[in-house]
Amino acid sequence: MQIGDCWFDAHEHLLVDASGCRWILSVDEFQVLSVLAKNQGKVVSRFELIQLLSSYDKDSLRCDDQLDDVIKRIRTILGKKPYSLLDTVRGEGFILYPSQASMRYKLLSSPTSQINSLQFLFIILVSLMTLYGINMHISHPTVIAPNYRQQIMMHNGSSSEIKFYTGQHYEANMKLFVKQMIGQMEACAVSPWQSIAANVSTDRKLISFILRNNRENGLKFQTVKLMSDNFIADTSQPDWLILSGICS
Amino acid sequence: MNNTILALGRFKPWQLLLIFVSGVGILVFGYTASFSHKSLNLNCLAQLYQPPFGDATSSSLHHSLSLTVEVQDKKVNLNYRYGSNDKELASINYSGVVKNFDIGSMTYQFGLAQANVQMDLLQIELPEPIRDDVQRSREALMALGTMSFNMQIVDINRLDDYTLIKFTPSGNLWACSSR
Repeated sequence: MQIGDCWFDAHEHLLVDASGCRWILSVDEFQVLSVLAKNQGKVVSRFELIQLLSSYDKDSLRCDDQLDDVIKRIRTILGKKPYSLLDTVRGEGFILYPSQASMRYKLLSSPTSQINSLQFLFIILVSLMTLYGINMHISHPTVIAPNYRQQIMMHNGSSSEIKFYTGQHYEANMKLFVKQMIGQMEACAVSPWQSIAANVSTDRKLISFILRNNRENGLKFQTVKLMSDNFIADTSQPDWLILSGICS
Repeated sequence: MNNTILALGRFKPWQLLLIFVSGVGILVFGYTASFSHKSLNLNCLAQLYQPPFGDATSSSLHHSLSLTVEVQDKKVNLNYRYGSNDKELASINYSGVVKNFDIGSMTYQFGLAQANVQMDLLQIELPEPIRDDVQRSREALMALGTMSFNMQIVDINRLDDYTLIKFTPSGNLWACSSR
């Protein structure tokens, strides 16, 4: 009888593999394989197979392990992909196929069991729904990059990072204001703030400064807002930095 | 450990896969659903300066602008208070609904339908940006009946109770605490 690439010789108690090698089966292996071969394509229960083992009457407690050893050896002889020929049906028993399962079943096979098309489609459907849900709720994070960033060394050796968020239109006036402020900051004796984020409102009439300082007892922060129609002229003198607490 | 492996062994692989996929799905939906309805309370305070900036004795020295953001379920309340020398001179209270919350960009979309302005008429005139804001909101509410803008959470540090928010289209930035 052909089983996959092997030939099962029931008279001689032999299993001849694809390379022509002849494997002599033990009594237990022969009994188990004979019953599985007679019931090809059907599930044979573990209990039925255990009853075939020679040690069943002597030590029934160890028969479970013994059956597993027998199945393992048969699979070894069956060669490549033995699970597609002799498969375990979890909780029920074993099944022997006359030939290797079709490609469709191979794709759905796992080392211990198979899933049918309906189950496969159900998993795909649930996966697609999950991905759709994730996509609906999570969009790409928005990164706000400053238009201008500079690290400024103070006279006392400390440093402050200044970041300008001037918006999309980094026009000449704003460039001038940023340049002017950086120059004034560099002349500043001490700045109590490690990080200064500056943001200009859309109408160019309000500049917000977010001053931050990480200290041992936590983060300290402050918001300062300057109102002006002409920032360049109004901040031409560096006194405003001291007034607003940006410099000390 | 062995017990766990044995317990897992009782399930078929496709069942384990299904449980995993469903679990991830429930977690994602649960997280987003809980976040979008989460209440938000922010208190933001800014020192406000008017020109001349170099004159430390000018009356602009102690001007302040504060903002309270309250989001509860789908309702939003924004309260701006303008004050000088610890005295409140004007307040604008906007109320409306949260139209949408985009978790990817952490942006709330507000639709404000009501604005209440309170002013101390005996006080000096309000600063121009605040007056402009009042005027703009008044015009929008009268013309359209609603006013839409976004509030983005740019940075959040719960440990230090620090939240940086940005309003669009005005482009105003605020550093806030939740206490």
